[in-house]
Amino acid sequence: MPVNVNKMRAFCEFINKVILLALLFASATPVLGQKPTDWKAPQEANNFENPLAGNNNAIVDGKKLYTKMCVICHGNKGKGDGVAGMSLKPRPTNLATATVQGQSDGAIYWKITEGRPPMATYESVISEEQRWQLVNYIRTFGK
Amino acid sequence: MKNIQIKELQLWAMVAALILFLSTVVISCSSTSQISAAKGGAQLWGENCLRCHNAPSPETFSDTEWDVAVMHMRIRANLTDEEADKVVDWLKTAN
Amino acid sequence: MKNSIQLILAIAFLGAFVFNDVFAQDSGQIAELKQIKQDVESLKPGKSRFLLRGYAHAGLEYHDEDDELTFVGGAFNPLFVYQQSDRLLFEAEVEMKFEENEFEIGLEFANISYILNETLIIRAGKIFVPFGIFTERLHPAWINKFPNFPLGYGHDGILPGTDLGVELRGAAHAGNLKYNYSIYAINGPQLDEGAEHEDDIGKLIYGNIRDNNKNKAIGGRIGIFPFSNSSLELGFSAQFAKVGSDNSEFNDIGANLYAFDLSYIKAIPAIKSVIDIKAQTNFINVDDADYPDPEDPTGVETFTFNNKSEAYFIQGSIRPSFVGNRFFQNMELAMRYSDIQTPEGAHWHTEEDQLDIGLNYWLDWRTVLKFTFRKSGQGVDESEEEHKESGNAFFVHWAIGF
Repeated sequence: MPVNVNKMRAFCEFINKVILLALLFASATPVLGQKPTDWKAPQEANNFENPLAGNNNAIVDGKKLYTKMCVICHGNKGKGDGVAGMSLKPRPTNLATATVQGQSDGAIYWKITEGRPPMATYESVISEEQRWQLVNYIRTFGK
Repeated sequence: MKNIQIKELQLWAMVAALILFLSTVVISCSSTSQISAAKGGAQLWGENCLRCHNAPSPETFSDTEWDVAVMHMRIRANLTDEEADKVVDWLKTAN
Repeated sequence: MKNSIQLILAIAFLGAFVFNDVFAQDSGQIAELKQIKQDVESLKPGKSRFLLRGYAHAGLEYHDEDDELTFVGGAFNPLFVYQQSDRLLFEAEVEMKFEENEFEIGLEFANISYILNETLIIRAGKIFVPFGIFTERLHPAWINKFPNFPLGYGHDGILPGTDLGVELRGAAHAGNLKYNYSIYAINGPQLDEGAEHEDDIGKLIYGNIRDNNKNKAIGGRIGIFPFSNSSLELGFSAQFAKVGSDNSEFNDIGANLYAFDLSYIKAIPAIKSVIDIKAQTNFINVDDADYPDPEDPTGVETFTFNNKSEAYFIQGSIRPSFVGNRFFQNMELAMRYSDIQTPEGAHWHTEEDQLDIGLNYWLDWRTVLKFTFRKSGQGVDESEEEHKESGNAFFVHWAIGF
């Protein structure tokens, strides 16, 4: 069946081309892929004083809030691996990294308050105290 | 002939069952439950959108557009009233 | 004394001047604020709103059968969503595509929905028949993980697609169990009596604009969510209809259709991935009938067959969303197996299966590049159907939702 052999050969060549194209595409993704841009809280946020500093009960309350509002994107352990975050740009932040944990409580509080799409603003959704509770809970990811 | 009668009977039995089911739905159901009442909008957005497609970025639409888009999804994907409300509120805080 | 009077006067004068100035500034700001408020109010949307959504795709296909490599696409499915009020919604989807060198335009669906209460919505018009999950939820190009449909689905398939009728649907909780439901009455399927193609005798024709009888098809679907995070949905659908036309000898022929569906999505941290499983199995039972044998010129001879068809598919996909590499994060490996069996003895008998293997790259939440290899299994060669819907093929599609 020479016809079939030719057909098969043509098909293989075609597949090769497709693979080549795919590789080309793959090599182009660093260009396509979005680089995470820096998100810095303003300087004055560092001066906000955490009214719940060292309060362990706040961690418990913070965890409850985190489960309800944050897990879906930031993941159970804050690694940015929540199931809904996989198609967002930028990806949800990994809260366990030194970049996050190195920020002041005030800066983290400010970010929860203000948000930056696709991260929501929680200023009108939860109280100041609740936002500080979240800060305390987020701190546990660094330990 | 007998065969047809049995089939008709079956059909009417099914219709009766459906009507019974519907009336149960209308009378006894609730749009919320303890578990869903405790959930946040972000959580419901993630859980429900993912049933069929990627969870959409809140940046996609304006507040006004989200109202329409979520109403459309409420009907097409059978979201509960509570889910639709919480999801749209959350999307509006994140766009 | 004089000095102090002068001082008081000076202070009073100065005070009046300053106060006056502040007041002027204040009233100026108030006026400005009023203006801004008015501007904002004028931009506030009304209750009636319109949103254009939809999807499109373009691509390249190689079909082994005819050994051709063809650019495809130009497919455009705009979805018009019109919100009349916070209870009333009108939706219509137009399907535009090229088919056999001709431009085709179709009205996929057009219906009015009204939210009666928290758990009950009424909808009427041309609707997706809630029979299983594929047609209603998974077929749009940017949701479907493959460029093609499983065997049995689509406009020439053996399953309900769209139909005209009225539907009640909604979602609610029974205790902590979430469920959704739909029940409907539609024109329903019609028995093909061989008027156009003798070979199609005994088939069901769906989506009929005009019914051939007074009987309406009645059906419904119920879906339950055993887990509170909505990750698993199990559905059951049924539909009952008389399918013969009132003035033919087939007026008592009935059909009943059943489907089971499953949907499951889960993140598995151990493999830094998200898995997604979908499945649907369909049973179509039409009453036996004696059909005129098209091969007998006298029209006296009849033939019959056990008119039962089945079709199912199961698909699984895995996306390593949480690995470190940004390229692999967006990759998705998908596999789908589908199978169809139509009645032995019918001229449209077929027994086919098919495996689709796909590698997808998600550019964002609604834009995907699909590389799919379709491998046809047994039975394809015996089928006399056109081979575009089956046979080995390779697809590269770019699909977007909007």
